Amino acid sequence: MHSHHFDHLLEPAVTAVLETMFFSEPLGSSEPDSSAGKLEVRVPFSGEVSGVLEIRISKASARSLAASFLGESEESLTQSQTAQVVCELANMLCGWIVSKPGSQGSFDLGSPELLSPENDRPIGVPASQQSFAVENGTLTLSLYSSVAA
Amino acid sequence: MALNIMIVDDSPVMRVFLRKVVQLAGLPVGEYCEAGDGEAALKTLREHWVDLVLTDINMPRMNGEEFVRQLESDELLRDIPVIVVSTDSSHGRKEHLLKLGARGYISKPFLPETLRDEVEKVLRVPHA
Repeated sequence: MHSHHFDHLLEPAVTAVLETMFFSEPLGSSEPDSSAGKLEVRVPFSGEVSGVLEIRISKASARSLAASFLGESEESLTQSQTAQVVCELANMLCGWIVSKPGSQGSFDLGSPELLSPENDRPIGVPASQQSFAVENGTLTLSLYSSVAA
Repeated sequence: MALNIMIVDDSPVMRVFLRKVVQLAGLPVGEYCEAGDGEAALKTLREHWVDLVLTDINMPRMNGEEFVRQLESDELLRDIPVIVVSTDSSHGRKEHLLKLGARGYISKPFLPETLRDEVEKVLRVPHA
């Protein structure tokens, strides 16, 4: 598998994960959210291709997706629960993307890492990147391949 | 018959989610118990009656693979059916876990119906 084979997988991954696990859906393509109000998570993976999937999601979107995921009201959610759900979202998206294309090989996924100003170091130019409008904001996926995690 | 179900996952929100999906799947549940890793799960299984285990793979201390291996080698616990719930949908990983002793395997994302079907399949088939 080559890294460019991931390009066409980002949109179906977002659709499958949001529809099945979050009772939501992507609302079309979008520009990346450049505001400060967003959560960022990275998931390293290794296998036939190694790399990192990074997701960035508007905080308002993260809260509404977390509420759907847990079956709770947005008001009852803590910051920590919302962040944990975004980590799960990143984990599921990464798993879908790296192991869905009928590959016979196995991939190992690392633990999702919530980024903060202290650990948000740049890791180069993404091999694939797409942004999607979602409820209350934007979800951006950036896939970096052959990056030492 | 109501099932006592154990959920093994290091993510608290995933454990909440799995409870919700079990409910949506319409499975008859007696009691739930939870563990954050395989080691804690083995300890709990020795102290409580559990009919079915749902486990993640990637966990600290003892991961799902080692958990399934240890469960399978324990004469008292090996008959408890385990379904792995993982983000890894590759054929190789699924086959590996089933060979180790897991009775079922569900890839995330999944629908409640998928969980219900897998549970019903696993509970119908006696352990080899």
